Amino acid sequence: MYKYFLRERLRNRNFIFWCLAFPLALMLCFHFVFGNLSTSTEVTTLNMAVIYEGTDSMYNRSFETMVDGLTEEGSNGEEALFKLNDYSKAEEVKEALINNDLDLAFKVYDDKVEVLISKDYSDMDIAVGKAVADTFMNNYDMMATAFEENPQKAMELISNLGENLDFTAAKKSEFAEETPNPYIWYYYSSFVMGICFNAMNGVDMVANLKADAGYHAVRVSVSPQRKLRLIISAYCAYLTIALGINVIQLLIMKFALNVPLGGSILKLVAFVLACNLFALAFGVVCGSIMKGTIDARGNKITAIIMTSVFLSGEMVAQLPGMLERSVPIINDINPATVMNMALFRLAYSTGDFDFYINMIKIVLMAVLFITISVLILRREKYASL
Amino acid sequence: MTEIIKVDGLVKRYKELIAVDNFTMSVKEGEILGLLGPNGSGKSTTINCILSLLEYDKGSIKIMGKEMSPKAYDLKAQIGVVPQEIAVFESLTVEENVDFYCGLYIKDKALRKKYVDEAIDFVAIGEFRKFRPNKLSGGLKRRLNIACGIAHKPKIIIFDEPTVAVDPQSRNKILEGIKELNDNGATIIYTSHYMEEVERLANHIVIIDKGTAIAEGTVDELKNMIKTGELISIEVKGLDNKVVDKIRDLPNIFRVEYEEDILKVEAGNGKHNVLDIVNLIQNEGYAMRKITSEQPTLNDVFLELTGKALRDE
Repeated sequence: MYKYFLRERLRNRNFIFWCLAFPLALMLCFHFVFGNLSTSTEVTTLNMAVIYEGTDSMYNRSFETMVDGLTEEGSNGEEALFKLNDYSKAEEVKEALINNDLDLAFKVYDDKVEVLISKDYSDMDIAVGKAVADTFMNNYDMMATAFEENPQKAMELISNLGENLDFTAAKKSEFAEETPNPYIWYYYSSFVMGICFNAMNGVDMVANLKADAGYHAVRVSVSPQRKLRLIISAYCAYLTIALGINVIQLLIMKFALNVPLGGSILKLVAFVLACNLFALAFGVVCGSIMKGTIDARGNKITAIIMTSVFLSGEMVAQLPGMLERSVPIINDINPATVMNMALFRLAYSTGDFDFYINMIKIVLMAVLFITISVLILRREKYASL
Repeated sequence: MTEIIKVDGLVKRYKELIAVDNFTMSVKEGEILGLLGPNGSGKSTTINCILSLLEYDKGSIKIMGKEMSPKAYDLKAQIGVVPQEIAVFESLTVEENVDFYCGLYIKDKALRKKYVDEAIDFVAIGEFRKFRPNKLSGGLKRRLNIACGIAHKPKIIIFDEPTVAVDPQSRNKILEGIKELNDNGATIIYTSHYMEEVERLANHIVIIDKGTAIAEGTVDELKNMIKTGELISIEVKGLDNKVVDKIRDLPNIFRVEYEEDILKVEAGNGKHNVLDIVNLIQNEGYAMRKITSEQPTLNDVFLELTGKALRDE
């Protein structure tokens, strides 16, 4: 039975599409839209020069002070953001940019700062240059006032400005070795969506084992097989396929899309196992209690999954954060959000606490739904045909 | 013959609706029992109760002398079911489907392989064994459906309307196959609303209507229950009403119709019904073109017992 349940699932195009192909297709779309995750998070020291075109000494001095702060190494041994290169003429700077000897340059006027980029510029060069220029221009009025009132304090303020640049979303102390890319959530969400679609397998399991839900189940129900044996065979077969699919997805995520997945394979396996068990059992329970044809039940489950995945931030990554502020209970009970959070914490959190909290939620939900599903399928002696 | 299935006083209600009402029947070992009734008469509900797929309100069902229940695994092992709907996996091949369902009954791999091969050969779909069901025609799918139900060589086989939407050629093959299964020793319950099939196959027939067994017996016994013994049809032009009345007055004749040059007469059991009518028409000076005489069908039996045709609904 296990063998045929397995074979039947493997050849089921619908299942393979929703659980394997669709999430991967979304991830690939994100990859092409958002770019390579590994390169976009790297901030290396950039070769930079400054050209002062203006006559306002206060403006020039303030910018110089800020840039000086960004050319120093961090107290934790972090690399400096810039290496300042001396050029006497603007033409020399332009030539250095064309020759790629410089990554970027700032042109400081009396009231604005312009960013010049090299011939082979990267997205990071633009992002950093723009962040520095914008931060300076946005804060200059405050700095000028501070200079008039307390020059010493103003110097401190300007040199600290660089630390507040917003091209890095989080401080290193909160996260492990890597800095999370804001788009990473979409990849996790797509992966979790694939797992959630495993609930469709649960519905099909109902069609195969519950006589009032499918014609196959009539034949299975009149056979001398014990229900529990059938249930265990089906669970094992469906879980095997789901795990196989997840392994493929995780390998692609890790090695082709550079999505961070944390360092613990054991925890990752535990996570995937618990999530799939929950999704399957959830599908069985919903498929059993819903009315209508098996296709209609499948459609209803799809709607539930889509809603759950949407609320977890599949389309709008900020949505869970917004819900956390207004109705946090939704994040707590939405399986897709809990799974996303567990995966995110597994990849980024320095401590295990947050990961385990989410895992406990998933395991509890899985145990609850598995118990209900077995009771429904096993204890129902008679079909309600 | 030993009684292999005994249904006694079966009652099944769906809230207000009584689907099966005090239904009683028995099936003897080695016979083909035809359960005949129109759609919605309670045939499938009765079968589902016998198979313990449905819980019933009253009565008892015994198979091989033992009470049937959802946990009567030893009895279930002796039963094969061919449901009305085609219950096969679309993503498995013909051979895999038969092997899967046979595997629910037979654990021994070598024996199962033998049984699967035999079942596939029996329904003559050997050349399609590597095909998936969606590549098969309706008739071949039906045959696969049968192979899945009989592969484990059950003692009792229940066919629930197995020829619905099947072409005449496949239908013949299916009916021949059922007869052969019976010849090989299987006891068969065959439900249908096609009276010709039941008449052709069954040794014993139970006619069911509104959940109640309204008549049972062999084909001849059932036909003898009604007064119509012969249906005579004669093509004759311009027959006078007086002649029609004279025919009506003949002995053993109880219904005469004359429309569009066709005279239709229903007569009771008698040896010379046709001769008497033909002589009378000839003596009146009319020429006849075509004369047919038919025995009543099970539909006539059903019509006379219930006042409606089997396929009215």
